[in-house]
Amino acid sequence: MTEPVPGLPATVLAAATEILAQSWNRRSAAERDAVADQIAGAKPGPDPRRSEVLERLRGIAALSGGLAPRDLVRGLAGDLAEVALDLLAPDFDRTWNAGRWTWTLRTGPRQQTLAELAAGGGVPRALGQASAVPTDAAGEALRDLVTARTEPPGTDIPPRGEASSPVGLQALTWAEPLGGLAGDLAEARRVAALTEVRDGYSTLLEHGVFGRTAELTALRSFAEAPVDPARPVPLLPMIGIGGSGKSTVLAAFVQPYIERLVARDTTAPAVVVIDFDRLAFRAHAQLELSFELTRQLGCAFPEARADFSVLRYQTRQQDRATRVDVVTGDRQVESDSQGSSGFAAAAAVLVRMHGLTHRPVVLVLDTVEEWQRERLRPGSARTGWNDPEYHLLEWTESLRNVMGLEGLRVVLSGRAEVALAGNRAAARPPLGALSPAAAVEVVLANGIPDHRANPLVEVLGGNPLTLLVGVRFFLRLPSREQEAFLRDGGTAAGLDEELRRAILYDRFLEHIEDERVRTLAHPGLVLRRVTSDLVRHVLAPQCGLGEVDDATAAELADKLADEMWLVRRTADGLRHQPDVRRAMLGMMSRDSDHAATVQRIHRAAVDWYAGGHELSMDPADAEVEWFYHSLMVEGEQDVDWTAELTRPEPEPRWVRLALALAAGVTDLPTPVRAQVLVLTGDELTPDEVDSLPSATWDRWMERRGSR
Amino acid sequence: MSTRQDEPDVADPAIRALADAVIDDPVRIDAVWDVMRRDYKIHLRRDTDFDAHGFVYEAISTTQRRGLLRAFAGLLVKADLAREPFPARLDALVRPNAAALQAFQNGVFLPKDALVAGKGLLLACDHVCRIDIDGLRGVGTGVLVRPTLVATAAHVIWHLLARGADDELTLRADGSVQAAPETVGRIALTFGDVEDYLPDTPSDQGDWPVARQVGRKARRDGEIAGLHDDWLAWGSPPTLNERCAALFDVRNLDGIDTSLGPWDVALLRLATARPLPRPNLLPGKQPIRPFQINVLHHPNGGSECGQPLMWSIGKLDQQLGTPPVRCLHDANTLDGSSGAPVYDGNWQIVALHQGGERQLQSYKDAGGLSEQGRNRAVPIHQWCPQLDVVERAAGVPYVTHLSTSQDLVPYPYPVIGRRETQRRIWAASDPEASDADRLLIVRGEPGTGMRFTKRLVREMVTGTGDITASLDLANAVGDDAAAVAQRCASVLSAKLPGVAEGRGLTTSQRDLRDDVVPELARELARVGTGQIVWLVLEGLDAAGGESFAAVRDLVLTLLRHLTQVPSLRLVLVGWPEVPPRGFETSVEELLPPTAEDVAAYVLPPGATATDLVPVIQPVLAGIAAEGVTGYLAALRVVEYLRPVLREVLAPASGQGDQS
Repeated sequence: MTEPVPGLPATVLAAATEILAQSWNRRSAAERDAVADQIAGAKPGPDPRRSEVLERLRGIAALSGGLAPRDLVRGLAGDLAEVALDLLAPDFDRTWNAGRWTWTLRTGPRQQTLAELAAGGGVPRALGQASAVPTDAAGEALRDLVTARTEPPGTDIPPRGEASSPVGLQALTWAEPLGGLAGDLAEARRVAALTEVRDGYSTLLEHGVFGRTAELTALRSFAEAPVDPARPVPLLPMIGIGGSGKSTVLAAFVQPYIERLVARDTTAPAVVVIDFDRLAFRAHAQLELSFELTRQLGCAFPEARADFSVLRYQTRQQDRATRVDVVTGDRQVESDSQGSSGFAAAAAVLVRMHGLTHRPVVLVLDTVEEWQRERLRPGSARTGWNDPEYHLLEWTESLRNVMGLEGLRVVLSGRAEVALAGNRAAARPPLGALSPAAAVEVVLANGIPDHRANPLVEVLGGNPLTLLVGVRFFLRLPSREQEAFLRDGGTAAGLDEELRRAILYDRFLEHIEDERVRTLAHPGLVLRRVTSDLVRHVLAPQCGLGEVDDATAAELADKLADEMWLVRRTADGLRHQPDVRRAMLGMMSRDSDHAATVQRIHRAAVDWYAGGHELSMDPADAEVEWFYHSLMVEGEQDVDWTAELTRPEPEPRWVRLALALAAGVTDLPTPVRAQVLVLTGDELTPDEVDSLPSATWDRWMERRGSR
Repeated sequence: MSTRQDEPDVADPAIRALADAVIDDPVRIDAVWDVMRRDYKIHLRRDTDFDAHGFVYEAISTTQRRGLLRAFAGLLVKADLAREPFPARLDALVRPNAAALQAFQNGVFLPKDALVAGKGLLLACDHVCRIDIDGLRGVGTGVLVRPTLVATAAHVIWHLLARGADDELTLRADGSVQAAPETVGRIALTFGDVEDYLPDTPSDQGDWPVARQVGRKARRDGEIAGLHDDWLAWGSPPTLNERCAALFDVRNLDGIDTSLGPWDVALLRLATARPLPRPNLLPGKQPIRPFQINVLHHPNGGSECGQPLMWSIGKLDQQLGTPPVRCLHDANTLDGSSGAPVYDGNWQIVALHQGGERQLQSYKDAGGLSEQGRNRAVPIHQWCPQLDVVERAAGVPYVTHLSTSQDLVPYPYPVIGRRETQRRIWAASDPEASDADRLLIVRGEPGTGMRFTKRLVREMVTGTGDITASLDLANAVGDDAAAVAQRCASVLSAKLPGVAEGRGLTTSQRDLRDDVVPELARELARVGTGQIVWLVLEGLDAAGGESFAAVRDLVLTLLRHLTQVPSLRLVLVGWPEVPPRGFETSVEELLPPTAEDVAAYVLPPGATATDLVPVIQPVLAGIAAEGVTGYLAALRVVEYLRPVLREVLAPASGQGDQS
């Protein structure tokens, strides 16, 4: 018996023997017999997996990427091949894709095999054996890499994969155990991280960027202008509704800078892109934001990369050591915040040490509305410490004031305005529709023939996302249907459906996590204003939410208010953001899945306002809401609007209400809208004129003639 | 049909026909085939060269050549992978007399779907055990009702129950009977004591055990199931009548309360979990009208070695009490049948056989009994609500060896430590596990065995019918998130249809969130229909100790969908990131094995380690002082103690078996 520690007293073994005997003798003989083979009989024997054949195959696999298992054992007799693959299988990732099995050696066995090959001088032999076995591009790049290392200096081995490409990065990662590649691997990882940021947006640039010159010029000026460290961190907001092309502009903005950083241009501003669509950047996790910032700073400033990495590692270790105390609720949030501050202070040392203090850093925060949504305490007011915007701006300030990045400037891109304290931001109008000329360029770039471009843009308008969805739809139509589509002004039901899916559902509603709130948004937002009373008494019963109590109604209204890109708080409740309403309402009202619900909501709203239930607003304003919903109701109701609005002299009450309705008139169906506009004396479009009943048309003509 | 991916169609029509009657579910077929590979040392694998259907053909062909087709067919049937007309096509390939799955010929009462009945019987046979006490074989019969719980009649273990000075039972606070001290060595459970057509030991002629005894029955030794130190998990005693050896009126309900019992049932706790792919207890109440029953039992029949598993058919035709507290049946039983499961025609347990007039008679005299003569059983519905509580009460059935990792040497490979990981896997295996419990993040320093995790998962969950798959994402550092998602699907032989459609309208991050991951979640849910899917991801820190953004994005987005895929268990090995809110408790920091871990390995399962730990601690400390730590240090202690274990476990040294 080998003593585990020399000089171990015999009493130790005696004590262990006695305890084990006592314990096991309490068990039945049958059980002891059964266990004997297992626990006491397992002996290290010859490992069949270490046979010469398997070692050779493992060597080939270690110098390959993905390969077909049959290729690996080609040349072995049938049974032997089967046995070999069976024994090797646990060492591989085995995936079934495109009708083929692909095996890729796992990290542990690969590292062990390569280390053994390198130590025993077996790499050239294994490489020779591997060369006959087909592998994927990354595997080929690996072999090139290893070949280049084994050939005499000066031998020209044309690489099949750029070291900085995904294939090259994979090859370097696999080859790491051979040693001597740390620098190349670090550079490949740096480039991969940079290109990953770029590639996330790259599909948006495939067909070019049109009509955004002013925005791009403003962004570039902002990025390259000197920063006055005595003033607050400069902020440039870029606001626009979903589908307005914010991400495309950002992609065009950051791409050249990233290319320069990839090329190690030390004069390029460091671009750091944080997309709040990424779940890693959950609200109130400033530490994660700081980690990501330093990751990307390390890519821009390679000299600081390793130090930032070590700092993150140390911070994580520290976090793990103390995590037991901070696993729940607010303590976690507090910990994140404190951790961020401590991390920033530690990072400041590195910023100074590597001379980054005055280097220009452009921090791009994308999809800010995701951050804006989540309050620290959902039940409390969105003010001060409970305002996510406050924390975000405070974090950006800490990057300069604590971390010491004096060249920092921030681009805020999102759907909702950010309340910017201290007027730090350069004012920019919301990103709107493209000009007709730019829209034509977009459709041409996306494959529309010249002669169709202008008519198509006339049909689709200037919203970039609508254009792209419309172009895809149009190109799928047979040519004779294309003609009809343009002739009918793009009223094809199919397009409507595609736009609804791509914009209303994928772009707008998908952003709302809570399913109930999503229901309130569509079709609930056919209401012009939402309060907890309206949620409880009008929306919930009609939208399938059933009976809700006051508290639930208040909670739902509160959650809806968190979707700041969608609604805004006003004195008389939540109101749809006007530009979003414009984009959404048509799609909502034409959504056949919800048409009946929409009508029920309007009817319920008519009853609500007519019944005097609305106590939170002036009765005159409530009457306007009644008027609006009453006009939206189809079919029978108390007021016969056709008769009322076609009278030679409509009641002054209707004229007053029509004037008070103001912008809401655009929501109305065309025939109703036209009649209301006649009441208010506003201009009518040709379509609206065409829809007027003859009596109203006469009145309208008479008034026009009297001007 | 192609067997291999690029070979011409050459197929035996009979084999092809049988393969066509196998359900196309590659992942579950793999699980069945793993059993064949392990038990019969077959090296054929689906993932070397085959599409799903081609592999079934090849597997049938291979097993037919080696005389193992019946065994393979049985496993397919048990796993619900065979559809009509599988039995008829099987008959075309093997001799019917030998291949006949007995239930296919059963038509005593109501006609049953032969395949379903055969499947139920085969599956049930795996769950029934012989109970030996004090060396006497076949004292009673038990049935696995949870992976770690065996149910039997309490009167079977009557002499092992704790009593006071007045010889009255000593009950726990909850009214349960309890085991007398030092009784764990007096009882042994043997599963798989059956007569079978297949050899039960490998052939001596090389590595290829071939069923040479085709057509001849042989009795298998069976498999001893180790008991937990606290082996009597819960029990309700029999009534005075029921524990008497004398004849009694089987309709007598004296002393039985309709809600309090007693129920004459005992739940015996196993040390390690046994395979129980799906619940085998009738979920509702049993029918009021007479119905066919099947009793699987181990009557001792006066034989010293007891009988192998027997099957008796009868009818349950009378229920006693309202609600029923006992029931009567006429299936033939003998001494040793007590505690046997009484299955209905669909092979779901409705009661445990208890005893009765017939069991006291000679088998050959049974026909002479009066019409009123009946056997008595205890319905399950009164006591089975205890199961969930009792099952989880004793904690984790720790494994000490890996039987599913045949590639490791030594085999079976020892598991020393990793008990916290096992506890987490056990918690996650609960079908009702919370989202946080369904995520396991395993971290540790190099050498703490992070990559061993996938083997532990496989060992602990394979028997329950779960699906496991693992992927090394260090092999995907060049992939974008959508490609990583595709890898995750393809390791389960699934694919992500339609992900590319509609892309290009927004950022890839948004595509990932809105299209790719929801599609992956749906696919994982599809694969996991009716079973739990364990996806083990390794190599998550391949970006120099951190994760690549593509992997990070995919994992975090997938976590957001965890609620929508209740069958998914996600194991992240080496995940360096901060877990999302709500998953803080999902993180396990691996620690090296401790003295407690070593003690738990060398002691009987469930035994207290209090005395041994102080002995081992200084040994470990001494080894650490030499610079050897972690698993290697623990292994050195185990090797040091191994000769002692051999000696202690040697047949002659036992004191516990008092027979």
